Amino acid sequence: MAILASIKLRLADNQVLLIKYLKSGGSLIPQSLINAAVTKNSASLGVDGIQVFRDTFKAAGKDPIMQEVQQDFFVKNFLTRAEDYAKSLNLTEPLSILVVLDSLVQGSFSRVSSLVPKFYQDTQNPLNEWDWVRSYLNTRYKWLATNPNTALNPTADRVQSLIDIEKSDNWKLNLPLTLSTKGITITDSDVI
Amino acid sequence: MPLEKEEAKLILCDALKLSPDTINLYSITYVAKIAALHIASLQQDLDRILSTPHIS
Repeated sequence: MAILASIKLRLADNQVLLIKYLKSGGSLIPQSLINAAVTKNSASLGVDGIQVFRDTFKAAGKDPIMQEVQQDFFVKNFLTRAEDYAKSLNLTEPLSILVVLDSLVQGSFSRVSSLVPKFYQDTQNPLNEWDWVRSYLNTRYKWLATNPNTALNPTADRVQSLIDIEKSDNWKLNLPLTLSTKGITITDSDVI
Repeated sequence: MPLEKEEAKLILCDALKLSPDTINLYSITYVAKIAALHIASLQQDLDRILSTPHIS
């Protein structure tokens, strides 16, 4: 909980999620707790309050309403945005779109992509796209793994999963898809 | 070094274990699953369209 002490809970995305959940008829998170989460920061909630929030939020993950709200939120705010962003960069491979998508979710896509030589994107040659994505992934891995903000260092694992997909040459994201660092395999029978 | 909003969000959600029993909006598993199944669905649609004889 040390991290939470320095991060305000008043984060726009989570506020929107909570409010949409409530408006959609979700009832597993008490109204009073939602009010507290969207109007106060972690310090004012206190350690006990954060624990209650954590537990109730976790419980709400089983609620189909919360799943639907999250799914809708994700598609509108991340997936569509990533597809548009990838298109603007002449990135068309499914893995390329996944790389952009994951970076938009995690953050700092623009900052890291600015460190990758732009000549890879000068033409629409697929080889240039693959080279750019490989370069971007390696750059992002190093940036996260060695970031002075040590809280980010463990998150390099998610980039390693993407690097492993690239090394397996699965640019089309053919299923089943394995996330090596998570030990999870995604199949076409998975239900979103 | 101040955290960017996105980074703070990620760390917050990881710390909160946001709905880990089902889906976690910000996890790589969720992101990859959405992307892979979304693209698989698009490919299936394309395959279906291409395999369907045109009727004129």
